[in-house]
Amino acid sequence: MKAWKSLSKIKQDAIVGAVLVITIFVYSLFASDSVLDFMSRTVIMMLFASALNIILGFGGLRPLGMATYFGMGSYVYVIMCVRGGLDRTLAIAAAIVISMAISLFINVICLRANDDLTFAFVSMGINTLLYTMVFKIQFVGSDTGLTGNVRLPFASSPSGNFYLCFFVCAICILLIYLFFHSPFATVLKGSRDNLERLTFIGMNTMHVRLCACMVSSFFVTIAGILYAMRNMGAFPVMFSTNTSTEGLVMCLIGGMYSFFGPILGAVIVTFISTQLSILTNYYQFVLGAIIVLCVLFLQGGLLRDKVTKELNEPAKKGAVKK
Amino acid sequence: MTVSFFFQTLISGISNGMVSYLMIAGVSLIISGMSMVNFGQGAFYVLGTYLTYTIAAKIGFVPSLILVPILVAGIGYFVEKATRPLFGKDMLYIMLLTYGVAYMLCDIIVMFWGYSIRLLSLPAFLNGGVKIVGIKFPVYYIFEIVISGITAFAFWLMINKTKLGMLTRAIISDRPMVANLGVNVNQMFSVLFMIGIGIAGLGGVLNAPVTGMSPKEGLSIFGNVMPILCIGGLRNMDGCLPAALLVGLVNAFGAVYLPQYYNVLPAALMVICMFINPKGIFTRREGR
Repeated sequence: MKAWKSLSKIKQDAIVGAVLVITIFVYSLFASDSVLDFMSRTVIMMLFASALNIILGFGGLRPLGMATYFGMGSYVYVIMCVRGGLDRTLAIAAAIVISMAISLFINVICLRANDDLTFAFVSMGINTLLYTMVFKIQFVGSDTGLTGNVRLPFASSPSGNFYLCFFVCAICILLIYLFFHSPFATVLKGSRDNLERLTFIGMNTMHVRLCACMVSSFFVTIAGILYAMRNMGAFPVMFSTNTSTEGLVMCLIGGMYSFFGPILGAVIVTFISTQLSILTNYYQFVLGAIIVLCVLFLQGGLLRDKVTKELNEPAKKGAVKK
Repeated sequence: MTVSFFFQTLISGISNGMVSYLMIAGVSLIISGMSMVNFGQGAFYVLGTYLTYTIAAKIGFVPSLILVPILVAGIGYFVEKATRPLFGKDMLYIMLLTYGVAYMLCDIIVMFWGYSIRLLSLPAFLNGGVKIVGIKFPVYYIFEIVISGITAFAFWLMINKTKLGMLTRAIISDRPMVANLGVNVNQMFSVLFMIGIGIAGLGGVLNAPVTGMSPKEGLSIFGNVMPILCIGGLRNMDGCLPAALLVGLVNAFGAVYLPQYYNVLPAALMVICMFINPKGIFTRREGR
């Protein structure tokens, strides 16, 4: 234990990450196809939650409409493949480019007021807008969604697809880790802790937030594309508010101010939501009860450290937030 | 479009807008007064509708107009109690708490009333039409407009003329100062929250005879009316009524011209309004 504490933070994180990757890999060698299916969902949700945490935990904004990008990635990709008949690699590139263009537009609208509450509401409103539109438009398959064989040719079997998801998600999460240790992330944390002071030293806070949102939506788009591959199609559920709420709950349960929190939360929430709907009809009730209990008794999540405690109790310092 | 059809659409649009105003006024009051967001509002609205199905069958529709909002507000009291420990912390916690409460409420409604969508039959004096200047209007729509108009007026009176409203306005601008003056802020919050939720319950009652509702709609219905908040301005209570009327009218005329996409319109309108003035088009710009 002493040797563990003497290691630097980065080395500790590297060891934890390596252990996590090796555990998942070894477990997948002995897993059946249905378990692999569940595991690929878990892995994708890990990427989704960590990407969401860029703006939730580190940016201090409340993204209530992250399902927008999740659904958009999968829908654009599937439309490119099924309706456009493009080559798979070309489709992935096109999906990323088109989604990023649209998300730039959406993020600019959301951040125009540069106010976190407005951001939350407008992003949720746009999410509702897209969800309703997807339901109505015949071209994108309306309420049944679009299906088709959209998996990559070398990864069409369940195990092949799992390893693809696993590989891509691992690299993306590593990139997010590097992003969190970049100088830009320091500025981002500043915008969470004290927006006014950041304005004083001459930062354009709106641009900082916009960059963070774009990075986050990029990774969420990739998660969406992978989810479309896993499900062999895109469905309106991906756009729904429930998806974004699930992402928020993952970050909340795991601990949104730590890097590994959302990853842990993703495992827990995915497990609960797949198993519970088999057991009981009132699955939403249990999920709601879990949310309420977590909010009341587990602020800061399961993985919390000293920094988290300070963030959770600003009132003790005598500075009452307006 | 004939003249009579135009006026009928106008009336139905106004009545729709007024009912969504009842729902959104509570949210707006809670946001600007307590700076917390209540996502459960839609669920309380649906709860009001379902309570009406049971209570109106026993004691009639008009008494339930008064009784149901009180019952719903009583439940709101407990929700407000639950949020107490979270004051002063990250606003996300309260958002998620009300989200969780909304999830639970939706499933509780399913437990008691089941999935079947039902419709309330109207009392005789509200059923039918009335002729004004040769154009026939449904009586119930006019009844809706009158009741919600009275509520909106009472709400305005409460904010601007009573002592409670004076303290509310004081809390909006400086909360620690009001607490220092010896006002029991916590108790005030309970009252404000209950008023906000009770108004949503009233909206649910008024809606019960018009639209059949599924219990799971609690969350999505909030997503549909939420653009009103952004159009009117988030921390601007006075902007709610014109924004709600605007959205109601756009919805009603949209349903005539674009029957397939009409429920996309409020959110699309919100996107346009964000470009005009991100603080809400009914908010005065500061410093000019």
